[in-house]
Amino acid sequence: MSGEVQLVTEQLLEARNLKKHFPLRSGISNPLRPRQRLQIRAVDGVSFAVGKKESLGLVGESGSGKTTLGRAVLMLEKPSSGQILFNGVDITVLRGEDLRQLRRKMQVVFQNPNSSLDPRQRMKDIISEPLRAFKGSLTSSIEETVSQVAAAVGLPEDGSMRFPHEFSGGQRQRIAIARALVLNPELIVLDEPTSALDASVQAQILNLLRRIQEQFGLSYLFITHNVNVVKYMADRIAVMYAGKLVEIGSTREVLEQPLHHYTIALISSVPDPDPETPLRNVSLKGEVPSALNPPSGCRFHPRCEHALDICRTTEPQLRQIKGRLVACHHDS
Amino acid sequence: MERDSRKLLSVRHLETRYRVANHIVIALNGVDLDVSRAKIVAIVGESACGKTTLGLSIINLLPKPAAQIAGGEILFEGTDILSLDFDKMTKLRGTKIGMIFQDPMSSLDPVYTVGEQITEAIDVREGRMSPRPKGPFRRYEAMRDYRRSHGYSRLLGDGSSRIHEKRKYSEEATDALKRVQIADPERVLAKYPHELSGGMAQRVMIAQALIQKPSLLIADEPTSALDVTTQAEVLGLMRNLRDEIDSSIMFITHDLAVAAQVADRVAVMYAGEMVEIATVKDIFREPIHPYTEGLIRSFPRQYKDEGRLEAISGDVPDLRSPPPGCKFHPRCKYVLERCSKEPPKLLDAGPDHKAACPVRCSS
Amino acid sequence: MFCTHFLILESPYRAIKLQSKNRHRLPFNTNELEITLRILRSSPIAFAGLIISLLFVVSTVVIGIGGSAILPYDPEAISPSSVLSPPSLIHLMGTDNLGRDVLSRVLAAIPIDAQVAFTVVAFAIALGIVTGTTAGYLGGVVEEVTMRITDIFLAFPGIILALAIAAALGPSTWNSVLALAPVWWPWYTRLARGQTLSIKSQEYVQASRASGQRARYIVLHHIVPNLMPVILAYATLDLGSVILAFSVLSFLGLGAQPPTSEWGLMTVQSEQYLINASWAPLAPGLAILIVAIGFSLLGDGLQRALDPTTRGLFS
Repeated sequence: MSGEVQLVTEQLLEARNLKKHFPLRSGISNPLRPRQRLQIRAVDGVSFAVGKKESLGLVGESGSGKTTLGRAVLMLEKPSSGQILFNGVDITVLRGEDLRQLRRKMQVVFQNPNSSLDPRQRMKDIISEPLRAFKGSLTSSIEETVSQVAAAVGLPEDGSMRFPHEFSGGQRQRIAIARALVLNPELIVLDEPTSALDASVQAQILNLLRRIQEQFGLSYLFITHNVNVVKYMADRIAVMYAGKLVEIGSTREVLEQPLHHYTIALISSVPDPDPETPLRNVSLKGEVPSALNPPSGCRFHPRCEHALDICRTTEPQLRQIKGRLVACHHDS
Repeated sequence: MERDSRKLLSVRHLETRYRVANHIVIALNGVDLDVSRAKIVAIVGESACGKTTLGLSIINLLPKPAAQIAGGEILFEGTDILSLDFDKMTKLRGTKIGMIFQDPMSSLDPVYTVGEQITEAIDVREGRMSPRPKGPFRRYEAMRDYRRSHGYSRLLGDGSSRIHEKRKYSEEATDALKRVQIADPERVLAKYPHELSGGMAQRVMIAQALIQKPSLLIADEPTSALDVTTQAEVLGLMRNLRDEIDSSIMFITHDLAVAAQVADRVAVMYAGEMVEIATVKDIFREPIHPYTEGLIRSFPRQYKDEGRLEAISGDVPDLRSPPPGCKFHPRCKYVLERCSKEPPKLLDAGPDHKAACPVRCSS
Repeated sequence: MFCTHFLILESPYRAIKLQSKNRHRLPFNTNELEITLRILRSSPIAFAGLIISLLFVVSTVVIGIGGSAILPYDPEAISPSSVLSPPSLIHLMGTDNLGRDVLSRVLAAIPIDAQVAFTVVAFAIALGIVTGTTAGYLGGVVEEVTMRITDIFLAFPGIILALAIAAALGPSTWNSVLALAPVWWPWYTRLARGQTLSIKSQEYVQASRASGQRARYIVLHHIVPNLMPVILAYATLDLGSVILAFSVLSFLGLGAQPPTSEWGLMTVQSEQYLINASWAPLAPGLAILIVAIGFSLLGDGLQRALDPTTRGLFS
């Protein structure tokens, strides 16, 4: 991709102009006007890369399309167009058994530990399920692996026969993490892994995620709306708005000197747990645009104070400004 | 304990119990709290700490018969409102004490426009509409009153031909929306709740609650369902309201950072008990209770390469079988033998600073 | 969390007594079982349904095993001397027009009705789950075709279809099972498909897919166990309906044949004596009524217990 910032490490995952549209079935389509097919453009042309052993934070508010992007990367939803390169291979064309084999390298941890575990499965079955899906091609015994992984994430040894409802929220999320680890993947997509957890448990899980990243050499695609969490977890940040990426760069640079006007507004509305630093309110007028009918040109222009004429007509592409990628017509 | 007449709300030893399946859960275990006029007090805590129960107990909207107030008193402007009968409490609710909830979409009636709902609140205040019609034909009477006051000629059946009529909403409704910083009030008044964004809907909720000019507004996680950019605006709005209208706000939240930005005083709850109360500056600068301290320290603030977060070990206790003595002691790093024996009380830890930890208060 | 010894409350009715260590061992939240039982206990109507259904099942087993030996009289023993005698201490429900003891016949009919009902419902569940989950999980053409076929079956008025098949096959108890089964399965397909769709969108199914599990495994191990409670609740309600339908078939002469004891059959045989010897048709008629209502109430109670919105204060 032209203009891509040099990654520190080798590239593991690359998305090229990824799009995911959901057709809106509005009753019986009018045969007289077939072109009126509405689509929800959840992800509308996204390109980024994740390096090996690197953590990319995907930040956006609700409606930005970040969850859909995560699912598309995992091929849980087939992308409408675009490519996803994993270790150099385009995975969007994989089907059937090839796709299944690919899944060993990419795993997922979802937001809600209550709904991401089957309430009728015991812990050892939940964690071993990915292993059992690939039974023929495994080396060490399943039980051993399960207990190793369970220990690695801090689950109690005697818990293997228990059901999810017997565990606390934090422990359930640990089970989900163990399940993601058990196939020794290279990439884990984490979709708001701590948003549904209590504040006092959140730090435990974040520390755990950092520890296993180092221990197992994993790459993370860390999806969240919480800027503080992503600050702690990510090497680089990609900011998403209305289905497109507006800024990508190293965490420090983006958070300390945001360039895109949306990023500026976003960062400045994040409350600090310190009464001495009040919020400098950059109030955004307007609302998050509808995914059915996004604004023309730059999607952010209706809410941007610095909108120019060109912002209304032409969509800005990601270009290099000050060592990172920004999608804006302005130069600073 | 002196009954300070300047205090708007004084909760003393409030105990609320829930019946869950066949356990009795003590949701509030002797909670004390004071709220002064025109101040924002943040109630901070995690899930099942009792903060929502506290709000519901004050306004007496607990789900009965599952929940019951088992003891204590709640003094509002000097009167113990727990002793009020149903009608008096109903008059109090919505007029002097208002409440707004977490999800604005489910708190607004989807079949009425914003204007109609605001007008309804105004009508209740003006007495044109009784908040609770009595008698066997209550529903009928309520409908009849409503329609009479709005000039509908037919008693039953909505004038569905009026759907496309442009209703004129009163000046006051427009002002109500202006007060919550809604830019184009006339347009919003004509909209239905599903046409509003989350932030807008929450503002409408606040506007509705403010019609009665309550002295106390209980806000139960009002920004948790909103985006962070919208949240910042709503927080600013709340601070303005405190200054303009002189209302006190009891802001219930699980987010410490939000509390830091909006509150004058902070009360921290854990497992049904009040563990620390202080001004917002003191709480963050010098947290006394180990839970508060742990919570503040475990808030992610640093970059990835700047070292680890200090996490609190363990999990939130199950209130069906809580730990003996201090409920936090299994997770506490200052724990002593006595912590598992005596349940701690709120002790003085400094000027206007109370904490329920004998270990730390003595040092 | 595990230290309280748990009993189902202070009432003398103890269905299950679970030790504290083991109460969480069951593959569902035991709270669900507790809540379900509490709801059933709390509503007297649902409780009555529970009792009736339990009695039915128990008597099926008892009478099925014991046979006519444990009944007061042989249900097929004709006794010309005591034809149409009113209820008395010897014959608690009187005798019918052939002198057979009505009570024994009513009781003897229970296992027969139970067998027919359970067979039909079991078949319907099995076929319904297979077709419903396949349609729901695979979607697309498969789903459309399956659901249209289901719709075709649903378009027929049930009894008419059953009558047609029963008439074609020839009247007998087991032929009526074959007649009722095609009428019953489409509802389960619909139910299973709906549940499949909603379970499919749950995150643990997504996680399974992401783990590389095959569709067959996901359907068998994730979807089916999670839709069983709903299906079973519905099936309970249905048992009563099947018994009713079978009785109707017998009443019309296409189900159980004489001299079998079967409530519908008994009713039609004694119909003419409704005024003079009312106990003869009334006893089996009331039996149908009570059992059908009992299962309906139980099933309704179960459905209410399962739906989180109607659980109310109990969860």
